[in-house]
Amino acid sequence: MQLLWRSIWAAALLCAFGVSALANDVRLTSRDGGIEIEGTLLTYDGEFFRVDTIYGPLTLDGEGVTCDGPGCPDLNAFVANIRMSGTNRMAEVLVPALIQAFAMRNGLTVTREVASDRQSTFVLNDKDRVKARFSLSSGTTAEGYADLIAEEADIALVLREPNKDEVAMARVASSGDLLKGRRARVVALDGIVAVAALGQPLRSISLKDMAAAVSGEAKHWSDIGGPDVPIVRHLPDPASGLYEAFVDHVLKPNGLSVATEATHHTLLQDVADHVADDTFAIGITTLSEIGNTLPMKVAGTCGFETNATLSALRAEDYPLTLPLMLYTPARRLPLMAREFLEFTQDPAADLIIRRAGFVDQAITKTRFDDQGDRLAHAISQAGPEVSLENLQGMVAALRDRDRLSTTFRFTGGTRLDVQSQENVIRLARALETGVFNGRDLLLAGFSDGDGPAGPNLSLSLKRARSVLSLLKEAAPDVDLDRVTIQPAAFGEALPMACDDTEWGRAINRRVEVWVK
Amino acid sequence: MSRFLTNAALAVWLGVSSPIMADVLPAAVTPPFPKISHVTPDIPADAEVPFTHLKPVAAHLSAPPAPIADIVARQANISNFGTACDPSISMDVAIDAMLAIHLQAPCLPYDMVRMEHEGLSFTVPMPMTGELHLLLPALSENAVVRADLSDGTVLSASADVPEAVEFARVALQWKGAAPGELVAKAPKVLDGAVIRLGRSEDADGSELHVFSSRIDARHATGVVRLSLLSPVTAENCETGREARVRRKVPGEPTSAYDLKLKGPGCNAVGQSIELKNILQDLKLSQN
Repeated sequence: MQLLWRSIWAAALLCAFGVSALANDVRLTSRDGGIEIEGTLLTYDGEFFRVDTIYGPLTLDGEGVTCDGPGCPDLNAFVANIRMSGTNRMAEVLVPALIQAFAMRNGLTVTREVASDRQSTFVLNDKDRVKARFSLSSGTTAEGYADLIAEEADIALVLREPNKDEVAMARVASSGDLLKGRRARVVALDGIVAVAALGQPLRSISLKDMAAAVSGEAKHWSDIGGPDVPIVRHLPDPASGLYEAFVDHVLKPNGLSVATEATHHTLLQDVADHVADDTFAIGITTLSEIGNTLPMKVAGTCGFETNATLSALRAEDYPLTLPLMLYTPARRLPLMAREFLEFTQDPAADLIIRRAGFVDQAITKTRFDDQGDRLAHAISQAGPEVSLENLQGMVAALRDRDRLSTTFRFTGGTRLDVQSQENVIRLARALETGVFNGRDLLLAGFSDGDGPAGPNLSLSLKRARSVLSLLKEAAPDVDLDRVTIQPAAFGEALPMACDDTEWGRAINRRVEVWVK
Repeated sequence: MSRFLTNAALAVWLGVSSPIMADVLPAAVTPPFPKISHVTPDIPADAEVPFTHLKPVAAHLSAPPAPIADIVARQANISNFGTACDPSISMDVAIDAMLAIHLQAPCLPYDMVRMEHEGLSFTVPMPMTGELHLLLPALSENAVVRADLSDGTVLSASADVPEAVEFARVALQWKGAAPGELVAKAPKVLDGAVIRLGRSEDADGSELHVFSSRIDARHATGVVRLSLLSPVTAENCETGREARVRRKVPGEPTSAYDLKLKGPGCNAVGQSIELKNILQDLKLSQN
């Protein structure tokens, strides 16, 4: 009985003093003892103290101060909790592989706690204790943004930039302007591909036919150049970011939408598995999830065919490139989360990304000699607009150079798309670290073939110059005495796709990088 | 009447009789009663009966003769089959980068042995003979196998398996009773199979499931789907279960990690949970 009373008293006391304990009073003193700041601890993220003081909230580096008072966190017991949510394209294979590699690199062991196919937590341990918990929620891009806005996620896994509704929702929820600053990081690339079974004779398809076959407008393979059998359709989950991207890039430009009798699959691997078993099925999936099917080439009406290969995706020469991005909120993340984000951009992560079946953004070279197909097309397309002299001038300028995989593409005018913004940073970093010291870089601007050649040439030069200024801005420390970077323009001389479609023209408007 | 007589004659001739015939013809089969009976002598009430008092002889049990101690000691180290008890292990490399393990522990029949290889283990009962033969897919080129016997003995063997580099192997160790399944779905053209090792009947047991496929130029390329199937029982519906994964694929860094599968709640007892996205699918290609 006495024990019961004691515990009641203890509980009452705890309630009475609990308030002051929650106030988190701390005194932070600089290492030399010169400065002392008192206040209420707001957060500690493993590196920085955020303290509410009489001067307002202050952020102090934990390295530089000592903490006294009841509110001080146990510095050695800090566990970083990092919540990630978003598209299953990233949450199923890519992010788990990156977390495993990140842990291995930091000498930590991993335990994966699995609640379901959609919910996992990776617990990273060193010899003594838990250092970090990465919880991973696999769903759609939209769910990722929703969790980010609701502050239920620290990092969103997304396939596209936030749409207008999401930006508006973020403003209302006061999680700051989602678009402010550079918040999306492209981690890897994937491609949207139409797949067919190994036995399917039709191996290339135009985007128009792809739209017709998937929407149900084309009922038989014979409608798009194959045998006379009905088309069976297997498609991704309609709520997924992949499907949204497919609708935006393929169906909408052709004024089509999906009819009812197509089968949608929540798991993308089911799309591939169903198509692999059915010679007369077509599926829409990603290059990383083709399973035992074959991706179809994307054909243009003028004879160009683009295959979703590693180099075509890296250079964005394939029209349906899908950047896989990590989107971070406008607030400070724990140290471990920032280190993880940095790791995803590190060249060491490139190998992990490739082995997980995705395309990394490493800067690679192709030789001029391997550009035979493109040159053949350039010659066949030459005419009154592009003269022999133009072609000869271009060949002379590029002949002894190699093309870098880094290519810049524009959403319209001179604004770069997400992947190209990432390319600016990648190339700037390579320039700063001296990768291209002693080399000569040519930023070769190209345009589409729409309109007269003269304005197209000056437009391509404008694009090359704008990339140059962006590079200089991103790499202020680059030693311009040791590396030469110059813009050049070739107008519509070297098309990569047909100009009769919008996507073809978008592929052709570009700045390539040629190195000597 | 003549039938009775025939029967009786037959019975006599054969020397046997049925109960019915015994009633009808007793003289033929019943032995004669004894004619004389001996009478038990009367002992007078005051007669003296002598008792013999036996004196115990001091037995030297504390110090048995030396030769007997030797025999007892020798017999303690001999199995039921008369072979020596000393446990031993030997290991050879078999085809397809398999380890042929021969474990001998003749005095520990039926006991559970824990085999361990590359941080993964499985428990297996010794057969009655105390001799265990098993094939284990090598999970590294320098394979070390350890056997923990129930009497505390630890044995180990090692072998070089250069051929192991040609195999993609994903190993999954299940811990505890009612182990789950490693499920691999591969197109027919691909060569590969799931090998199941061990038997797990209680919390201390574990099973090892290994998907193994040779990767070389002669074989087709393709994707093998790997998934987990975990039965929900009354024991694990709340607490969940533990597993361990080791993935060794040519061209990939070898990775190992622990899995904790959370219990789905006890309403799901009797069901099986299929997890398709936990193990990374195997992309087999020639390069």
